Amino acid sequence: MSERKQIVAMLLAGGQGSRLVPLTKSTAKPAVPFGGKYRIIDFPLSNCVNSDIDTVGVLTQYQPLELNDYLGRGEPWDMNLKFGGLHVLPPYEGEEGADWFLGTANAIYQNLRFIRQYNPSYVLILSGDHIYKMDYRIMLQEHIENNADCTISVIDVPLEEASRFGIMTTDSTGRITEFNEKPEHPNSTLASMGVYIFSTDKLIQYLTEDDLDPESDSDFGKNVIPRMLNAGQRMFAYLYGGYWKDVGTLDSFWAANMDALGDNPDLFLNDPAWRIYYRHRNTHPEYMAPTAHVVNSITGDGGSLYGSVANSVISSDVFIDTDATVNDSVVMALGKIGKGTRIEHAIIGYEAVIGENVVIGEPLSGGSALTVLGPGVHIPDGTVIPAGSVLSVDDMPGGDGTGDGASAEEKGGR
Amino acid sequence: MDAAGIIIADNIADLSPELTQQRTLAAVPFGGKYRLIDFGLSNMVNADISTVGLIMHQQYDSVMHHVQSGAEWDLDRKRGGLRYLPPLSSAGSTLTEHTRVEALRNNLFYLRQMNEKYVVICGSGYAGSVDFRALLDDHIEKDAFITCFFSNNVANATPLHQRMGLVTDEDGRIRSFDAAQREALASESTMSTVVIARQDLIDLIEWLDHLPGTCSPTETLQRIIDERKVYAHITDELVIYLEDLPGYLSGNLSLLQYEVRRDLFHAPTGPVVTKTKDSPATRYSETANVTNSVIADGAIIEGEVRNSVIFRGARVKRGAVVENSVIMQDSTVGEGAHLNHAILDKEVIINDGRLLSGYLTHPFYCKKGERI
Repeated sequence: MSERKQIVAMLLAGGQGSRLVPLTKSTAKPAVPFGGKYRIIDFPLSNCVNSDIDTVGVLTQYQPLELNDYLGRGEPWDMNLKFGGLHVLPPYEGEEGADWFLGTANAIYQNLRFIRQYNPSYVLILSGDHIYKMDYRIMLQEHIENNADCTISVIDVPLEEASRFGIMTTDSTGRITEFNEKPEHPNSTLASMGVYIFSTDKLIQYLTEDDLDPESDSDFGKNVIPRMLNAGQRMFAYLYGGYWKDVGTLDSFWAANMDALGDNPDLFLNDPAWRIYYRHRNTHPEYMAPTAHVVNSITGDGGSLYGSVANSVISSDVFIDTDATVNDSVVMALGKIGKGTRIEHAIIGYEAVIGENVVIGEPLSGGSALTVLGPGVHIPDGTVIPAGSVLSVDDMPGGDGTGDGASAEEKGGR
Repeated sequence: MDAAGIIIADNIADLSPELTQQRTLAAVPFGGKYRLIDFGLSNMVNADISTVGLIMHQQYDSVMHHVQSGAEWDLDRKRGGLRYLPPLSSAGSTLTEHTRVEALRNNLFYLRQMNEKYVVICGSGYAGSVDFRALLDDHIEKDAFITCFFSNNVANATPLHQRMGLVTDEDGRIRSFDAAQREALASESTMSTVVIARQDLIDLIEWLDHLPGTCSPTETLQRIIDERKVYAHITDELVIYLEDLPGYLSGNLSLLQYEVRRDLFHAPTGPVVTKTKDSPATRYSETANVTNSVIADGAIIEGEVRNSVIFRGARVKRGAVVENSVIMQDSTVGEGAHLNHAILDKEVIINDGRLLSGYLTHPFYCKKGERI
């Protein structure tokens, strides 16, 4: 058994995800369910294991309970190892006091000891809020060939979107000459994906310098990368051509789910050569009733579908009753949708109970705004929820009015 | 619970030769994502039995590949946990109802090294969520020598104790059964689940060892019921028999009934646990039309599916029609093909346009890896 690792990944999973509320109201963004089966964090973790990276520190901070439970000892990703493996790294109290992670760079700085115990040549920095399938080995190979100090993975974005990202300008060899965080007038379309490879000694050097700078926000994009660039370090861009989506907003989260649909989806989840691993629930195969009609959709296990579903992502253990219609929507696990209810262009959080003859949202074809119901929301029979509404369980009146949420299947024993 | 478990992954050759040509009955796929052994293992762990021996004889590759370390069932433990008991001293012999007692005798060393007071022994011939704790409690309460589990609620066949002509007294003590029912008795070995005190089991095996010839469990029962307290624990817990090919088809299709799914998958004892595959979600295309069917994850449905059970990773292509059938893992039904009362084993490919039909009593069976 080796005494060191060539590369260690550090996964930033502490973000609050305030733009994903109500989905992140009581859970960290990386633990938000995605694609019928997964949590967002399954994507970077599966990319790691598929790229032969077996040692990952997951930096948690905001609402970590559900995320920690989900990660466990990393068994789903084959990361329950004696040397290396998955380690959850929460903020801690040291000799000089307890610090919350102040920024992305500070979070790594506070865990340099974790990195040092594996004595890696390289450190891969990842975010817990991106949906993509990427072979980090190719990026590492470029990093090594370029004799780089830091390699930043970039995608080519449309010019009109460039001001939402950190934008790189490179020379003909791919070496970064300029970096601008969310520039008003971008002069390049190479956008940072928030995926960095550092040579370990340089990472330690610049995180230590950053820590000594009282003016710094301790952020990779804002502080560390510009500091390294100014100091003339060898910084390279790695152009990634595959699917990548930042699911930091409700609209982009919905859109990424929709990208998994269709016969030739942009986000292909059925690739046996690049499996996305996840922690399983003990669910049985789903039942499609005689009245069911499900097209252009993906569905999880354990559910019973009696209604109609089109262009939607339905997670595990969802019950959809007869004459209910779900179009262009994401329904998370353990949802119950009553008879005659119509759901259009919406996200329904897990354990939501929707009564009978409810109307949620308006058809996507009419250019409607996305409607979002948070986890655990109960909607009484006959309610109309206008398009564009974003409701969490706190917005609901006291009584839910739908009884115990028992489905017709359970009541009637069909 | 103060009991260990023994699961016997045996093969009753007459039962379903097609399905068990390359695997033991324990490894026969069932219900979209399970293998029969999942029920035995889940029933054990749901009753807090955490020491489980797995006796195997032939073709045990698929069982071992499925169960692995037992981690899915939390049986990868330092204390107790899963123990594989492959044939060491009896290589080459087949494990049938006649040699079942012999199989236990070969593993006396394991029975002796356990600490648990009782042993629950179960075969692998049925699917059912059975409360082994209630079985043991009943055994202890009646101060029985052996307690045998039977169900009144068999989804797809006549309950075994009725076939056996089992006669019990009011208390449930077995007084007699019809030993002439050879067929029924052969089934009995795989269907039954029994509980016995560990020391009683060791003594019984040693006693049988001194008798001439081999002795099946039913023959053993026959010898002892007059002197020993052998009880029947008869419940209404749902059980599905998978004795032969028609039974295999009807057993799978019984999952289309709500009550069967409820009793099997939502039993108060706990979930049925199986090996995880990290399959993606089930995918339905624009042309899919699926009604009254059980569909596992990772399946891709582009055609019509009615009254069928579709396993993980199976694919039904555009224009294909699948009715009253069981399509096992990673099999493909080609464009425009039409299947009725068919059982496709794993990794079968049905070429475009094929029309294949059997009947409920005579299912059309296609063996693993075949191409039609």
